[in-house]
Amino acid sequence: MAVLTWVIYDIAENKPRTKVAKECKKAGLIRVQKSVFLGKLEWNRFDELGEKCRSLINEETDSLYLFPFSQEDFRRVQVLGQGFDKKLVNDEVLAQFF
Amino acid sequence: MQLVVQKPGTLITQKDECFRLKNRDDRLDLSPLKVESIVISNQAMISSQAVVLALEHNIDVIFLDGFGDPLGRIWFSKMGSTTLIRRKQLEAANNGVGLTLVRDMIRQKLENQSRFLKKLMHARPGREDLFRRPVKTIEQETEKLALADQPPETVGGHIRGLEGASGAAYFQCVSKIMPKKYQFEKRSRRPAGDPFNAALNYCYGILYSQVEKACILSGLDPYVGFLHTDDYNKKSLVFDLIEPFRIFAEQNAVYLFTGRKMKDEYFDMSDGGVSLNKNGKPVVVDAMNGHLEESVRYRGRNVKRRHIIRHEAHRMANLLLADEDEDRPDWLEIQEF
Repeated sequence: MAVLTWVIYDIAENKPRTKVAKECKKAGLIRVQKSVFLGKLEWNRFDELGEKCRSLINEETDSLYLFPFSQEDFRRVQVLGQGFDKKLVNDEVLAQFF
Repeated sequence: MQLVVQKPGTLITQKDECFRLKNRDDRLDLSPLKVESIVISNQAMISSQAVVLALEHNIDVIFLDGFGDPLGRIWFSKMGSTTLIRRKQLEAANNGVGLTLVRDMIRQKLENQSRFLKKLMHARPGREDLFRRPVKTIEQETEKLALADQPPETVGGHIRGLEGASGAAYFQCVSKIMPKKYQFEKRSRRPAGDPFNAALNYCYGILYSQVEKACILSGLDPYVGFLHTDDYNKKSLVFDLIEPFRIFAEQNAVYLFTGRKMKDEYFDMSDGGVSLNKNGKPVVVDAMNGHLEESVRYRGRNVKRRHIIRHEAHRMANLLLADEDEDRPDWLEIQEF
């Protein structure tokens, strides 16, 4: 089963920060703000990403959250300004053209 | 999702285990976990690393020609399943089993056609007269199918004949319900003579690649067909097995036009032919994907149309594997109307 996931972090050092961002991208999440990723993950990938990030950050100084998010709440999300594509993050785009 | 590359000069590479698509003014990074297939319909460059990444994640890379027909695909170097299936398939091509399968496929196709026309008829009260004759023609041809117990050499011709007769009636009828300016005379391919045929051909093209994938996944050899046999280097089985599923493309094309979703600016007219251009392709591909993604009733369950194709290919493989004295499993049950 897949779950919509928010990943939000605050990481002091540049290097681990970039690595965490790469891991999120690799997992198929979409960058919605500088330190915020959003996307759909399989549950086991959710755990996997959490473990990977744990090994990258400094638990003394940094913080990172993985929020599972329900579809019901996602429907009520308001996007203002330069926001993300709701369909894209929710895996509802069936064909991407380039 | 399906990744469709259609801007000329696109470069597809791999960066940090993600696909990176680059063009003069655009860039897109995409995780392989989100991609199901990559369809390349233009001049593009793809790096070997990107190909390897696709192979590792079971993503197939398909190359299309200008008409939207798949020319080739990159796929791992093994067939999906046991070689025994392929051996049985070759045997079936020479004994009665192959012909039985062909008859089943064509019967399903004709039934689809008449059911679809009836469905369109019910949605158009007062215009029933338009439909009665073609439906009758198709039903008559379907009956003739049962009589096709002739020597194997002539059955092929016989089946092709009645298929053609019912197809002509079917498409003439479909043409009459199109908006006036999109009505057409007959089916045409390479090049299509009118917008409807252009859109339909493109939908068939998408379907071909789905059917071929289903064949490979279930261990069937796409090159060994039953009705379309002996063609030099042709994917004969794909041409056979697509018959019962053509309805998916036809429904999609018909609804696109009757729903007035198609516009003149989606088509390019050139030397006697009509083709979809880069404005039109996304509309058609999106609609076709949406159509395949819809769930319909299939063997008592709700199954996506896309998956029905795979189920039936697997059933065909199992049917070939079954021993002769065993009861062969039934197959082909597409009833969505």
